[in-house]
Amino acid sequence: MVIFFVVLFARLYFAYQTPYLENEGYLVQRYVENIVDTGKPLFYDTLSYNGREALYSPIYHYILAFFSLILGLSLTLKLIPSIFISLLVFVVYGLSKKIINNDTLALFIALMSGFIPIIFAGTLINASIYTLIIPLTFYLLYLFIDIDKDKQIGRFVVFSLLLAAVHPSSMLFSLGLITYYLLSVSENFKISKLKEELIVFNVFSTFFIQFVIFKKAFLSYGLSVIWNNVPIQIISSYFELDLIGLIYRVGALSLLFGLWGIIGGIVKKKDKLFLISGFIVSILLLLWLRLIDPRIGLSFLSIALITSSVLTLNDLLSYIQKTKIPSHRMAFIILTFSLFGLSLAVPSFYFASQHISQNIPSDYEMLILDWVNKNSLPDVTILAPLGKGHIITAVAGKRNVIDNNFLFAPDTSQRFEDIDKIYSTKSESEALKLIQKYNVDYVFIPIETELQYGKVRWTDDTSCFEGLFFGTPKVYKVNC
Amino acid sequence: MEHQKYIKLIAKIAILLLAASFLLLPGIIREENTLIGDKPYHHLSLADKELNFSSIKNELSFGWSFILRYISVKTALFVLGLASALLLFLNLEMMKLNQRLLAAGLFVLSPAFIYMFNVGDKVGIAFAVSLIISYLIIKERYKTSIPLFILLPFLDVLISIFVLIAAGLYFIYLKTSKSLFYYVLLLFILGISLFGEWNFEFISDLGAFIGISVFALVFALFCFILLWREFLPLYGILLIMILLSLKFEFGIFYLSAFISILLSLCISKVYDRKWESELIRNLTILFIFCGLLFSGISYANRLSQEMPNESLFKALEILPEGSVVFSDIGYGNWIKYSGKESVWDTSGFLDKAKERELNSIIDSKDAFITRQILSKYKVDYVLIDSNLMEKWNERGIFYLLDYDYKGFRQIYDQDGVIIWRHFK
Repeated sequence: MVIFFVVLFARLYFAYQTPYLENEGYLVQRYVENIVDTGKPLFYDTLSYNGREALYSPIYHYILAFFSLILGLSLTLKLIPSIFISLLVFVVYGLSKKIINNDTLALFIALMSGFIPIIFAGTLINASIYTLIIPLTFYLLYLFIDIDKDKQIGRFVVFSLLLAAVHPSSMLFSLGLITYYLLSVSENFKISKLKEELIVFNVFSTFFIQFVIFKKAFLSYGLSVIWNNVPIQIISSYFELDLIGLIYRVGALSLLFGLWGIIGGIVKKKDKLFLISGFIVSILLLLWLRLIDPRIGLSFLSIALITSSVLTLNDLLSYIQKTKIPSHRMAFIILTFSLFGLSLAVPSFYFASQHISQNIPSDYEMLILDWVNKNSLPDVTILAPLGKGHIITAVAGKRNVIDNNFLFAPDTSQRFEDIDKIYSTKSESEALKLIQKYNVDYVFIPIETELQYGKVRWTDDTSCFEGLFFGTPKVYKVNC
Repeated sequence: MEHQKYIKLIAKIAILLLAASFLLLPGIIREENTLIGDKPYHHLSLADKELNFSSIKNELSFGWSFILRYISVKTALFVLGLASALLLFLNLEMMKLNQRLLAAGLFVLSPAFIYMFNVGDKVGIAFAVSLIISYLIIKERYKTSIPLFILLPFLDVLISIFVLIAAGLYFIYLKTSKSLFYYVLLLFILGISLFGEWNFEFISDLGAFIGISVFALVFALFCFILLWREFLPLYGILLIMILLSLKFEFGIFYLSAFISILLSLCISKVYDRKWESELIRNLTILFIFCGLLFSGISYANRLSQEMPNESLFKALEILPEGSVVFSDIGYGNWIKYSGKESVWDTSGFLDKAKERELNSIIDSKDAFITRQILSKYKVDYVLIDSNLMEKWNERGIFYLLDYDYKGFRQIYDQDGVIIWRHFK
C-alpha cells in the first residue's frame, strides 16, 4: 500500500505542475464531456477533420464520466488515470511473487514498476486509456499464470471480456497467449488443459468483441485496419528505434536483467517465464512488423521485462550467497538495487519534467485559443499541425483539419502531406489553394512548426492574412 | 422408429424456418422497394427480350433469365433458398442428425447463402441444381441426374464445368484406382492455378462483397490445430476450395457450403471433448456461434443498403425510350432495365479500349475531347446521383457539366439524381 501511494504521489506531483493536459488528453476530455452532457458517446465528431465519424469503445470514457460527476472533470482526468496506472504495482508484486516467492524482492520490483520512464512520463497528463489497459493486461497474466480454481476462472473470464471491450490492445494479450502456447509446444513443455481452454476462450471472445466494435473499420480497411489509418508518412518512421533512447525509456538494468531472466526462464523451462516470454516475443514481433505504435509496444515490453528481471535478481542474490565474499553481500545488494532504482527513477523524473515543459500548451497558447473561442464564429476551421489538433477542438471549440485520431478519418495521408506543404511552402498561391481546399479560416503557427519549417513566408501578405497574434504561437485570420 | 421420424421432420422444419428468416431479413430491413444490386436487372432486361442466338454474349447461361419470364425474382429466390438449405441437409445423410442440422444451419447463416438467395444472380439456381445432382449421385440414381447435367450449362457454364469435374473425381475415387484419382486431382489443381485471375478478397467481414465469414475461417483453422489428424482429407479439400475461390467467384459459394459441413463436424467434436471447465466450453461455443451469426446478420444489413434506389428509376423514367445514357459502369444494367441504352456493355465482356476512353471523360476538363467521345458513343444524357458525386468528387466532368453551357444543360434534379442533356 505504501508503494502504491509513493508511486501515486510522485505521479500527481508532476501532473499538477501544470493545470493543462497534453494534446491527446483533450480528446479524452471532449469524449468524457459529451457523455456527461448527453449521456451518449461522441460517435460523430463535428469538429475533428471538419466533421468525421469516430469509432472507439466508450467504456473507459464512461468510467471517467462517472468519476467526473463526483470529482469534477479536471480532477478526474488527472487523478483517476494516475490511480489506475499506480494499481500496476499490486499486479507486478503478485506476478513477481508467483515467479520467485520472495516477498522483499517482489516489493522492490513492484516499486520499480511504478517508475518505468516510458510509462511514467507517457501517461502523466494525457488521461491515456493505457493507464487502464496496462494494469488490466498484466492482471490477466497474473490470473493466468497458475490458474486452477473456479473463482480464478470466473475472474479471468470477466476481466478478459472487459479488456476486449475496452480497447483493441486486448489483441496483444491474445497474441501473447498464442505465442506462449507455440513456445511451449516447440520446447516440448506441457501446459495444463485448463490453460489451453482459456487461451481458446480468450482468443475467440476477443476476436468476436473486436469485430463487433470495429465492424465498420474492418469492412472499410480490410486487414489494413491494423495500421489504424495512420498516414503513411508516420508509419514509415514507426520503427526508427533509437537504441540509446530505448535504454533510457525502458531502463538500462531492467532491460538487461529482464532479457537475462527470460533466457534463464526458457533454459530452466519455467512455465511462468514462458508466459512472459510469449508476451515479450509477440510485442517484439509486432514492433518489428510495424504493426504497433512503438510507444505502446515499449510500454508493455518494459513491464514484462521488469517482471522477468525478478528472476535474474533472485539468481544473483543466491549466487552471492554461494561465493566467498558473503561479508560484502550487503554492500553488493545495496549497490545493485540502487543502480537498478536509479536507472529507472532518474530518467522517469527527467522525462516527466521534460515532457511537461515540451508537450503541454503554454499559458499564452491557451489564452489565444480561448480568445479565438470567444471572438470567432462557431463553425470556423483552424489550421494547426497534427500535434495540436485536439487542443484546437477542445480549447478553442473550433474545427481542425487534422488530429491524431486517425481511425475513420478522411484522407489522413493526403491531409498530412497538404499540411506539411502549407507550412513549408514559400508560394502563397500554393498555400492559398490548400487553405481553400480545407475551408481554413484561421492559421495557427506554434513555435514547434516555426522551428521545423522556418518562418512561414506567405503570411507576410497582410491583405490576405490578418495577423491576430504575433508571439509564440502566431495566429492569422484568412481574408482571401 | 416413429419417434426418430418426428425428430427428422422437426429438424427439416427448423432448417426451413431458419432459412426463411435469413431469406426475408435483407428485404425486411431494406428501405428501398427495389431488387438488390445490378445482376437481377441484367437478367430481367434479358428476360424481356426474345431469345436470339446471333451473339454469344447474352445467350450464355440464359436459363435464369428465361425462368424470370414466368416467375418473379423474389419468389424464385425464396423457393430456391429453402430448397438449397434442405438439399444440403439431405446431401449429408452419412453424418449424424445433429451434425447435419448444424451444417445446414451454419450454411444458412453464411454471407454466401444470403447473397445467393437475396441477390437475383444466376448462381443461386445453378447452385441449387448442383445440389440436386449431388443428391441423386449419392442415391445412385445416375440416369435421373443426366437431364440436370444437361440443364446446368444453361444456368451457369463455369458451375457446370466444376460440377462435371467434381462428379468425375467422385466416380474415379469410387470406381478406379486411387492413384488415378490423385493424378486427376493434381491436374484439376493445376488447371485452377492456371486459369482466371487471383482475387484475394474473399472474406465478407473484411470488405469483400461476396465472401465467407471470417469467424468460420478462423474457427476452421483453429480446428485444424486441434483435429488435423482426424480431418486431414477434409482440410485438403478445404485448401482446394480456397484456391478455387481465389480464382473464381462461384467457388466462394461451394467453399461456404463446405466450411459449414467442416464446422459442424468440428463443433460437435469440440463440444464432445472432455473440457476441464464447462463454463469455458459453453462460453467458447457461444462466442463462436455469436461470431457466425454476427457475420450473417451484418452481411444481410449491408446487402439491404445496396443500390439501386427508387429515385434512380424515377429519374430514368422521364427520359425517352432508347436514348443513350452515360453514367458509372455499375449503372449499366439499371439503365438498360428502364428501357434506355447504356454506353457500357453490361454483359460482362468489357472492351478495354472503350472502357479507357469512357473513363477518361470523368477526369477530363477538356470540353472538346469530352464532347467528341460522348458524340462518338451517341450519348444523349449524363446521369449522376449522390453516390457518384461522392465517388467522382471534384473530378473534371463536374466542371464541364457546370460550365460548358453549349454542351450540356441540366434537365432534372430530384432526390439526389441529376440528369444533363448532351447536345451532340
